[in-house]
Amino acid sequence: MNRRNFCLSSLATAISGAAFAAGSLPTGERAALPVHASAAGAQLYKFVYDRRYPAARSFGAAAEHAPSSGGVVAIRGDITELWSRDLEPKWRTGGGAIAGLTSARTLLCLEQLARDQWMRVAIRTEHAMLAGQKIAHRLTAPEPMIARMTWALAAEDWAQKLPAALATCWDAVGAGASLAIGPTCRLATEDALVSFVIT
Amino acid sequence: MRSPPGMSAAEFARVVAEFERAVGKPWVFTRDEDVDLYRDAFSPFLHEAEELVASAAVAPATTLEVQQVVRIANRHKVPLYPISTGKNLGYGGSAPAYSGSVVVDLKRMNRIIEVNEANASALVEPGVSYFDLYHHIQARKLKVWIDCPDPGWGSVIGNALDRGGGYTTANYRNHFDSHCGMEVVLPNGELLRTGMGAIPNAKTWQQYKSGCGPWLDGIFSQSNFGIVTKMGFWLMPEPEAYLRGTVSLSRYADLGPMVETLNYLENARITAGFPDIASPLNAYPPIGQLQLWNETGPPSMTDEHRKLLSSAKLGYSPELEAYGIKAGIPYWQLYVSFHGPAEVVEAQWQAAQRHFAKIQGAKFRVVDRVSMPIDPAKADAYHEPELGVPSLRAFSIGARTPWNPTPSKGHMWFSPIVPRTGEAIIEANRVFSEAARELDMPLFRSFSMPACFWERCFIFILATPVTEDPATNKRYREGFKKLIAIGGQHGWGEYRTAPVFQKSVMDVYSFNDHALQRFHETLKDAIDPNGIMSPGRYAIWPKGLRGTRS
Repeated sequence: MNRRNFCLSSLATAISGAAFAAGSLPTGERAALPVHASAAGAQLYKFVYDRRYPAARSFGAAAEHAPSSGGVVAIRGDITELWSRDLEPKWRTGGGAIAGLTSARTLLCLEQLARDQWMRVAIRTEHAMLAGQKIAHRLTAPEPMIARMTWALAAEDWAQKLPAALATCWDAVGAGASLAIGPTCRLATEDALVSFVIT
Repeated sequence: MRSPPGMSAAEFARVVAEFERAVGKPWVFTRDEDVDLYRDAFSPFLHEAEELVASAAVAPATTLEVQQVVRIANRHKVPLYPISTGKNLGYGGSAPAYSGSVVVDLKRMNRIIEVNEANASALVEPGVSYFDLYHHIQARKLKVWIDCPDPGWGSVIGNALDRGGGYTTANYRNHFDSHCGMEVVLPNGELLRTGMGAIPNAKTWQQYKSGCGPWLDGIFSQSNFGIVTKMGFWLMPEPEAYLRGTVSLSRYADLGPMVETLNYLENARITAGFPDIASPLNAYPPIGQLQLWNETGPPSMTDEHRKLLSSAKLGYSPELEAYGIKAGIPYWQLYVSFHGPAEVVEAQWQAAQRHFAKIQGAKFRVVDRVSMPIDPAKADAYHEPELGVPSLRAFSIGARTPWNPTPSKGHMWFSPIVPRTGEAIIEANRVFSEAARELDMPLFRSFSMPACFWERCFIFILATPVTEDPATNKRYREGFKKLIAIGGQHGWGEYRTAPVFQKSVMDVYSFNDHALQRFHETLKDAIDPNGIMSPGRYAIWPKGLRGTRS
């Protein structure tokens, strides 16, 4: 079993309530964590959205009703506090898959930091704003996840449907495939955003 | 499974098995999806076959494991590429200089061995990030500061070994210069300690840098002569107060005297904080406000100002200058800062004003006057790294905006060192803006200011974008190499660069028929005869690969 599988197993462990104290790991000891049983009840740790963008605010509002263990957090682009006080300690102990809708720069930052724990962007969708306030989506995800995501992205209220779709995809594994969807709808924004799952 | 160049899959599988026995099977990565994590996110070879990629990665947790990995690599002549936290984006990231190398990922070696408040020093392993060290210090309420780059996500050792810089006071901003002692695994697996660390049970390893005899530390920076597994750093005692003021000047011709005065004050240690030079009239922000401008846009500009700016040459026209004087917009605005007891920083600021007042029309303003310690929750009211606080705010730059209409996929830093004079600022602008126009490279807006990460020189740092289009990236790569050569013709060399440009940069350092390069190769042949350690890093190739590289 490689390090990545350790991470997923440990996420399941943490969420299903196995006895584990995040603060008990000595500094410098990102040791292999014990592997426990199934991922029953496992879900995303947190949703992240950038409140500067209308589509992301819709996403965030919908995420309040989607399953996660840690809830929803809004940022204004700066993830310093979120990462250093929340995600880094969580990821260091082998847990904390997140989903979000942010700018590409924010995802770049999260992706690089996730790599420190051998985590990766399992699902990535670029939401490109076109002329005439239309939108196109470019989804890269493991094949089994494509169908789960497509229904949400094809909808006019895609940003509101995304959290529920991403919540079913937190454990995405497998080779990625790409799919382009759109243009599908009108949006009141000209910003390019990206939605993702990091696991 | 991928394998290093010239090695069969079966042979490499045996090497991998040995790595697994040394560090544990979970910490050896050979699956594509794991090894792809070590790709350079800002690779200028995006979507091209020439992208530099690893064949595998191994993540040791201790110095002993590093030694074992190195010995295995030596036995089988497997090229290694050590990284600390792999955040060197813009300068190559975590991808190896020689495609097919095995990345030695030192992130698991993240012990903060000691922070000594009385000695104001730290001893750390390569996986310790600036955030790690900062939180360690904060949690223990130690009265010392770190000095970090922006963003602060990188490795303290990694950044110092690539000779990066920061934002607090002069003697700590130069990260390699502020180190004191290192421990290194040599290419033959032997362990070496430098400086006073070469004395068993040394009592002054983090107090006296050079030990006795030849001072070796420099050869382990920007090189491939060993893997640094521990490094000591001098830290700045937390100052009692911080004062930042501006010096505003209204005439183009004031640039030279401003820089001369700054140099005197810095060399005399009257000011030691990060000098930040802006040109409000040229709409060029100070580095400390760059993020704010990218987030919210530059200050509003009248149509008249915009028109005058578009017709200025090298940031100047008499009409633009007259407009600035009339509108009260400074041509140049220098931010100087002071750290220390309140009465001392006030006196230093007074002295600085007295010297700058010799330039006609100089105006002064205090921007920040802060007592320490600062509440970390309020640090984002400032440019945090100038107060020793690491930040990721650089990534809060959002999506496409009117002032950032073409956000790129990444960038490559072009970073020549130019003299610390006003004349050099103008000359560098002239040379590189002309070159950028001829090469059709989007490097400039109108006029660029250099940065003062180090004393005694300027770094004229420009970002070359990485795009989605391979043809454009290829053109930019070739243009970048031409810029390097043009800089060399003017006596300006890069201080640091990505592997794809390391040969071009080192070719500029050609005094006496490339004596420096030949000396590096002599050392390489002696220290690493099997050529396993980061082949090609800073254009130092082992003998077996030397003739094939151009």
